[in-house]
Amino acid sequence: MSYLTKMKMRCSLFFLLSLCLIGVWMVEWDLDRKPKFQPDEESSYWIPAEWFRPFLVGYELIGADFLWLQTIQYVGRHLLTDRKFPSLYPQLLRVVTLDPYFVDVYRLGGLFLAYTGNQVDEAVSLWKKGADLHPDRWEPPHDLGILYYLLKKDYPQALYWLEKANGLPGRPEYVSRFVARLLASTGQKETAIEMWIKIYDQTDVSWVKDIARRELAKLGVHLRREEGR
Amino acid sequence: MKVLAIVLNTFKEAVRDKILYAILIFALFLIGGSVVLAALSIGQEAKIIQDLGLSCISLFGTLIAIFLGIGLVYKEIEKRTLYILISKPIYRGQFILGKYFGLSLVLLINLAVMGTGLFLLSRVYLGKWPWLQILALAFIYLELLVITGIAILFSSFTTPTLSAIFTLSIFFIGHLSPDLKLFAARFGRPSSRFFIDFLYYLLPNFRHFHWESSIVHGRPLDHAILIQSASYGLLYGASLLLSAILIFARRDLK
Repeated sequence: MSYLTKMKMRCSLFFLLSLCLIGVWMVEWDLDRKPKFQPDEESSYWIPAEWFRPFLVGYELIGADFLWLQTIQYVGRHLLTDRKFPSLYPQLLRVVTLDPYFVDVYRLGGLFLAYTGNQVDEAVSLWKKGADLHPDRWEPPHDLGILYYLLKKDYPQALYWLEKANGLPGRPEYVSRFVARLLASTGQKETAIEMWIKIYDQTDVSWVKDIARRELAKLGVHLRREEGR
Repeated sequence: MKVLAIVLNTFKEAVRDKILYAILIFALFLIGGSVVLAALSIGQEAKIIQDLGLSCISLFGTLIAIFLGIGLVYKEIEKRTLYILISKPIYRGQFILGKYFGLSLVLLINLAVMGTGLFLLSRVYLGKWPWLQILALAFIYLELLVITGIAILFSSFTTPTLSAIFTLSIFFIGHLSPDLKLFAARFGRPSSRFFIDFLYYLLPNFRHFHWESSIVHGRPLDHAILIQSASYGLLYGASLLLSAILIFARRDLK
């Protein structure tokens, strides 16, 4: 084959390739403009993790991580739109089914459920699950105690859970102070303010800070956004 | 000495295989890519990086063990290099041992490369050296040794395609066997329960090698269970290797 024939063949192939690429781009552009069926991703949140766990063949931790990222997207999406979170609780259950040691899911998930989603009973159920699974961790009984105190106004239950948290290693120093105040049944507003300030100080998560700031505003304490308190 | 020569030869042969590098680069890319995912996780960066990294190391190590292991013996027969070897004063068992340990060395180096990448990345995100990660990696290596044993066992009497199918099947069943046992206990008849129990003890239980969850979450580790799990892996691997030697010793190579 001569050099000229080779060049002609290469040019033809290049021309054909260009035509194909232009065709692909035109079809894609046209398809994007047409209405498409959007699958309801959130309805899948109700499928229990037990059903698809076998398909993860031992890699449940990755599954839990992906579901957690999906949960964050879900919360973010609904925070910006309707501020309703009907699928949050089943989705959180799926995460902790795959990774029961993922304590932050109980903590952050419970906070969103209780204080943003107004699903207090679901938050209690999630935290109780966490407290049962992790009898050595102070976080689930601590969060439960605070919820009973602030939202349910059930002071005997608040005392029960905070006393439980107070007996566990790693607890913050203020827990014993809350227990003392609950035993004396005094200064409920001051206790609530201090609880929220502690929650605010403890977290680096902006969503949790927003919840704490909002609840403190209800109690008459206004935090400045840029510098915290 | 003869075994060592085969080990080194198998190692050199495996190192020349391009698939090894493709898998290794892809795994390192994924471990590095976990940083992007971790950024979306609200305070869970270190956990996600470790979860994804350890799972990648286990999964890609398994792929390397299977795809290199299935052809180890068959290639030698197909290329007729095995006939030159066995005409020399070498036992067939020594040949199998050499092949097994050669591939185990390749896996160890791969694991070390991937593990070092993850170790350094975890150090950056955790703010301290994740020493226990080495334990998780050691158990992943034990799992890979068992998988290599399975691949060599099948490679000693069947074709690479069938070996790959059988080894992958056992890999999946080995991860699901506790569920299978639970299912049989709940719903099965006594006869099927006996059969499933038999399969449960016959097939490997890879759950014994997964300590990632406890290590990543900083849970206390039961040393007795750790030692038992390690013993299980070593004994199971040795059983597979001995079975492969027995089968290969009786194989008609004409």
